[in-house]
Amino acid sequence: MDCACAREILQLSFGSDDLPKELQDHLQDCQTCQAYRDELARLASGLGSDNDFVLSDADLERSVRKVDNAIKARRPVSATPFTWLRPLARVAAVLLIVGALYSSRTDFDWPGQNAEVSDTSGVKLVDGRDDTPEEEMDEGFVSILIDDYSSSGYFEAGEALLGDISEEELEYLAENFEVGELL
Amino acid sequence: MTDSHKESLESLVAKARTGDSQAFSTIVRQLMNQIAALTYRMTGERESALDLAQDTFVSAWENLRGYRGEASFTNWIYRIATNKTLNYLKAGARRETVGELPDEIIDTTAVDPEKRLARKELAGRVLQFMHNLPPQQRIIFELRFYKGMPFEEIARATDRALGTVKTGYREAVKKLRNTASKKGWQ
Repeated sequence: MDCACAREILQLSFGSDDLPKELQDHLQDCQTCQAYRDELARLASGLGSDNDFVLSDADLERSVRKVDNAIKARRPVSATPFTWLRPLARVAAVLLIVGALYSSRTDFDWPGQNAEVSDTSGVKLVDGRDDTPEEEMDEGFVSILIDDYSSSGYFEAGEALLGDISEEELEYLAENFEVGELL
Repeated sequence: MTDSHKESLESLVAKARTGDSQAFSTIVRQLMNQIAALTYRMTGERESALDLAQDTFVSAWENLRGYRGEASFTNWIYRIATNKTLNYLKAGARRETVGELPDEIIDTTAVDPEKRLARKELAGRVLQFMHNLPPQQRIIFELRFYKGMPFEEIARATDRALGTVKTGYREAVKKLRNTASKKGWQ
């Protein structure tokens, strides 16, 4: 080992008494490196040790208390007794969502969707599955229509309603009913 | 650290990992001094040093699951303290000059006046030297000289190559010789 190498090892060993055997052998025969070793040892002792730093009681207590307060404000990092529920809860949530999506996309007879509506006399006016051909006019329906809308108070409603009726239907009405001023 | 104390720390850590905050509080009490010593020598600032030390333990609590036992728990805490302190120094929040060591951060009540003065002078000298080092060299020197951490662990703690860490330590020692020579330290 040469002196340059010995110095490098002494620098890396600064603060430690544990020197490699090869270095110890070199130091036995080299006074220059012995002097360098002694100088570094003095410097190391002049820097003290970690134990020389002693926190005051006040600062220690204050610091411990601050850390306690800070961690109490946070969730515990360890596993809670019910962490095994989390994956089950996730699965349940996914199933609920899938089920809701499925039911919304399938044909489903909601209540009232095909309800039948009747007037006060019991005549069926609206059939949820009305398949009456257009050319067939329900006489009962027309009669009620005229009765309900032929009075003077309902001219506007009647006109609006009759405005939607075709000419054929108007002829039918004229031939079969006394609609008078309504037409 | 005695074997019984070390064993006690390990069992405290095991309890703390299950959420036992009381056990963790005991750990804080045992290690606060060592961590505050690190942060103080690194920053030279009393309040910042204490804040960084406290933040270190809060982070440790939050990341206890990340401690897998590859390094000793103490070295793991040093790593957290190192990162926090380096980030603090990088942010530029540091004093330009290092003055006298405030009495209140170091307990001097138990020593006689002569020793108290010697301790203050020593601490002042240390801070002067440390603050002549760039932050990376400073932390390498702190972890190696004061904490006795092996170079390999320092490399992991600082995310540096092993060769870089060794070179950094040697450079710090050379600067110490120069500083001592200029200041006339014995």
